[in-house]
Amino acid sequence: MDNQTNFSQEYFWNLLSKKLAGEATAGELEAIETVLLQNPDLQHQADMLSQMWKQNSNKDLSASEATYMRHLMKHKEDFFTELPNIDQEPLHFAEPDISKLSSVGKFLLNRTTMAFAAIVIVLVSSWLIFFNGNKKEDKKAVATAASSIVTKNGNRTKITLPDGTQVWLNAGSKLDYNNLLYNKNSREVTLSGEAYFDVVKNADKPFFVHTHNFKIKVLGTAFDVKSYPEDKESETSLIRGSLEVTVPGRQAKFILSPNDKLVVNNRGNNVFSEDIETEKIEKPVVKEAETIISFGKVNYLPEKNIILETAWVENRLEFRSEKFIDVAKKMERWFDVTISFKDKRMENIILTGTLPTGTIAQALEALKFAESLNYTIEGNNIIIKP
Amino acid sequence: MFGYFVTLHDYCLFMEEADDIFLLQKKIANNDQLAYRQLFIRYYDGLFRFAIGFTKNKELAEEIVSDVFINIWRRRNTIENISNLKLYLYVSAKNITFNYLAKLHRENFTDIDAVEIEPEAPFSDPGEAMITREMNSKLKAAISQLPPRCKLIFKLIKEDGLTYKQTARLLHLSVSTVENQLTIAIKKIAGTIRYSLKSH
Repeated sequence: MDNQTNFSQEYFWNLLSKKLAGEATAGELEAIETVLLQNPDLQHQADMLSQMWKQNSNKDLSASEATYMRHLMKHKEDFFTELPNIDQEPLHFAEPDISKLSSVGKFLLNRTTMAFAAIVIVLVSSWLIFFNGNKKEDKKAVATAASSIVTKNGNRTKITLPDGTQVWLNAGSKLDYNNLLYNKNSREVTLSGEAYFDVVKNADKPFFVHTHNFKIKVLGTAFDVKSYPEDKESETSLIRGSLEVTVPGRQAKFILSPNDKLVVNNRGNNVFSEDIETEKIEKPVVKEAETIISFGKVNYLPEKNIILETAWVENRLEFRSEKFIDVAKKMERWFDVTISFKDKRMENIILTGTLPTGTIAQALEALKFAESLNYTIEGNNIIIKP
Repeated sequence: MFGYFVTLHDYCLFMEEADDIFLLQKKIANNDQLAYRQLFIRYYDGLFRFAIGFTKNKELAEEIVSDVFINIWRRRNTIENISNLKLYLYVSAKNITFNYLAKLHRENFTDIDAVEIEPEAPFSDPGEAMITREMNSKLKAAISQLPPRCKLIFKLIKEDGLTYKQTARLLHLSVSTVENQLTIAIKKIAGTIRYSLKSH
């Protein structure tokens, strides 16, 4: 090969690079064509390079979606500072009894003022809780005072445990922990219902969540646990970090990585009492029936841009190919109502979608429109009919 | 699976990127969280893979990119003034990375010749491009074996779509250095293609 060809070749690759990068001038593009005409053996390589360059990055968008979720949760105050209208059910700290508020309190809860005084409201709310006279009328217990936080159906709340770990408690749930022992050698909570945890990292004091039928060990992660005793299944979904899940009666431990989900079938009355300190399993009350466990990925809903399992943390009632009877259960907890079906066959209707979470009437109207059904409301009881 | 995502209007794969990011910028400046989310989803991966080249640690890289984006959100009212948001994101990622690494007393953390970039597979769907899997892995290997600086520049331009000028500014190099480095990468890859052809 003579010098001329060598020089051209070097120049050719330089120009081709520019072309691929979108930096070539018209003159340079022409020069490329000229060289290709003179050196057709270069054509194939040029074509391949072009093709390779055009390949869209094979990004895993659902992973990015989960990462975005973690980003939001990490900076919750930045993204959820606007407290919603108090007519809607917001996700916020324990709600003060409005009638008991002084006029100052009412002023601060006014929607316009709220937009400007978000931080102040957070502080004032905490203050107001303590000064709320009649504790009996309080529907929600306060984290700092008690070791037990209960959300009745229709309410969701967020609490911060003594070590800074945050817990978002879904409707109809209960979180127990020992105020004195928590954060001594370990951090233990017991959950019945559903909660989203954002655990502060502390390798020396492992965090344990005990539920009806599994135990979770964590070291600084964000994850969701759903374990309502009355449900057929319990599940835990991991958003960030790693979890170790132990199911009583099973040898193996399950390690979850982000976006993994573990579902445990609640079949059989697996009632155990575990001595938290010694981790000894005492007296199984009923002989263990078979526990069915399945392992999967969390459900990312691309068109809704959220993760299904933690949609409720963002205040959305989502469901995906679920039976009406199961959706009805979610609605019962969310709105604090009871729902029954006049025609039992309607229980098996498969639903997919999002429900407005303002009032039960709104949700029912949405369903009525979508599914051509009817309903009657009698106080807190809803009857679904064809 | 990938085809499904392509059809979503959200990911704007068919819009001109430059116009698109400008539109996002405007929306974000007006508190549009959905636009912010779009920005995040679109640029997270590239920024993460850039940061991790320096940190060599996943958690730190994620933290860094999260910082980049939270700063954007916190300053959203002023970001309309940024003439080149994409470059801004990368420069921000670099600065935050260097800050963290300095605090961790890492040595030579600013040395781009010590960067460990893991390139993407050249063809995500080899079958469609009519190349063999063997060729695809040969290409991936060829890119992997590029010298660190060259590989980094290749990644920024090819995968992240930065211009020569943007890349030069980001890495404090001259445009001609960037140009030369990319040429080296292209030649190497072309060589692999040519060699594979010959051996058949």
